[in-house]
Amino acid sequence: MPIHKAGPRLYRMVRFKHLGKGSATSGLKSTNVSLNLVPFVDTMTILVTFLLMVFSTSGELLKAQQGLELPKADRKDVLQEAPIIIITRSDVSFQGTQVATVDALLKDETPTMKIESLYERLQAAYKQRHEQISLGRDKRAKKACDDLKAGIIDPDNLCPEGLAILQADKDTDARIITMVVTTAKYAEFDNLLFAVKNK
Amino acid sequence: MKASDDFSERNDIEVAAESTLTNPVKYDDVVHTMDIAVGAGFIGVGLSEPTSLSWRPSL
Repeated sequence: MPIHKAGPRLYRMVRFKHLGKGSATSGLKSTNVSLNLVPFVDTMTILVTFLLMVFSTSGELLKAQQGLELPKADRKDVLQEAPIIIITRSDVSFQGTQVATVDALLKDETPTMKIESLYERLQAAYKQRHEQISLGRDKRAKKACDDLKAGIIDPDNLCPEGLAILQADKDTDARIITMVVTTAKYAEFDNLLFAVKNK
Repeated sequence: MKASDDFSERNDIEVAAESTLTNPVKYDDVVHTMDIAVGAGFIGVGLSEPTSLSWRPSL
């Protein structure tokens, strides 16, 4: 084949003769063009697999975050949906919003061990949940809270009032954990679920 | 410890970490302690501030 100067020459060099043939009845050019669907199917399969891995629908409660490696434990229970406090190597956040930095908290010598910004958010969350339960909007939660008052604890259905999940990095200084737990207690969050990894 | 007379009828225990700048305690160690306590039969593990413990052990 001779070498030509570069330039567009589709239909001249690569003749798609089958595309130009008219239909048997009308004589017009056929509009039916066959496409190779194999690469599209492959791409879609990879995309669907990726999305399924990223957005799990199995009720995952924990949130993966940079600078957060959970400690390991042998004894564990199932977590329940609740507000999440996350402590990474650098920040403390509540429901995805940063409330303090770890460095600032370690320098803080407040004897009350209370993190004000976290306390305000926890208190607001508690009031909101308390209203929902007292108005009977969440019947399952109301039953769990009534059972708790009667001294009955169902581990699979804990009273969500004052319930939160603590997700902290394993290398976090215990002073930060104590501050967060103390702040939670001030805001009436008496039941903290500690998120751990399986050993 | 759980089997001793003092704790045989109790399922709750308090855990506190005395972490300082010079001797920091990691959260991993706190969880490990809580894990052991739950394994020994203390179902209600409470994490407290060292000064708020019901009884403060001395070494």
